[in-house]
Amino acid sequence: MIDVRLDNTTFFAGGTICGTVACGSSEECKLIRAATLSAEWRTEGRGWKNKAAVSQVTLYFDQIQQSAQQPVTFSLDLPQEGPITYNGKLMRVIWEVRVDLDKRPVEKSALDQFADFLKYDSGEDKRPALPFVVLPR
Amino acid sequence: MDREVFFDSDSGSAILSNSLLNPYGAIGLRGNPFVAEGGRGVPKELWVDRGWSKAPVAKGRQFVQVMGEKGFGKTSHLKHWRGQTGGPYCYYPPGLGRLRFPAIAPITYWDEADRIPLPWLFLALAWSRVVGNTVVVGTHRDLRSVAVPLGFKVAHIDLPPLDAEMLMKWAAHRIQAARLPGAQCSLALSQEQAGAIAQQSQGSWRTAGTYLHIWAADAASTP
Repeated sequence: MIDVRLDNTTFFAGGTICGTVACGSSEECKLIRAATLSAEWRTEGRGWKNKAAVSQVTLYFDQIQQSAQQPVTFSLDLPQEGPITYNGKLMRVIWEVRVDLDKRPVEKSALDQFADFLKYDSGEDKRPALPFVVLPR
Repeated sequence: MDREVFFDSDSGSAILSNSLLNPYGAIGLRGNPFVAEGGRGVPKELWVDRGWSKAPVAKGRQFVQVMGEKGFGKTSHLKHWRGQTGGPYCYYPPGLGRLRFPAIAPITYWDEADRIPLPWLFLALAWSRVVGNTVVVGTHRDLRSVAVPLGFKVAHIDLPPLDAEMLMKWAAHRIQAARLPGAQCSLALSQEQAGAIAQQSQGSWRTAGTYLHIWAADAASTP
């Protein structure tokens, strides 16, 4: 299991998000080849959905394994031009750090593979998300 | 814990108390219960049964026609069924986009099918009938006069306009689904509010969803 922390929950447009990643020494952590953290915004509400990833950082196997002893720091830049966090009556702009894990494939039986194939993909973003606020500078 | 990624619990509690992070936390909700779904349709857990939830069978030599005014739920029904059966979904926009030939498959969904040019519609239906497919259409105009002579079994569904009772059921279901675990939530739609919204929406689920979104946002800003 990976533990992701942000130094704060509120940041300014054009600023930098800082945080740490720590991985335990479990077998599960040893399967992680890379972890990509990205700062993303998305809209939610009654209109068409929109989203964008503005900055990304990837931690590789060695860094992830080292983080079992000492958390690894990361930083992500936020654009000067925003958008900023917005909570309106018809729509919201939500900022999140999303984590994408690249894991060694686990061997699955043919039956499990077939069950995965039949699963309906709802299109929902299932990557874990840590929300934060972006304020105007 | 079966999560692969664990986020700082201090930040987690901040999410509930920080009104900028989630204004809906103040009324015990994860977010606004009435956000519009993307192109994939209504998620299974948010679906409210109106009597036609079960999808038609593939290869049924059947023509299933879903009719209703704009916003009455034709597309939602087509996508809900497609979630059960798979198969191609073709949306026909106004303009040149409607000239695309419909997809042929064991079960196929043609939305806004009344925009398909008649020769295309006739040919695609005749082909589907020959190979014994099921064709499901969302339409504003009755297309049975094309399907019946081709020998299809025809099912016709006329979606009724939204009423206050159904709106209350829908709103309660959505609010329940958006509740934060263990949090108190007092947001509830009264009979009067439901009646007023159903009337303002002129039977359209889409318009009612917009009014309810505003209603929930108001409630979150003044808990």
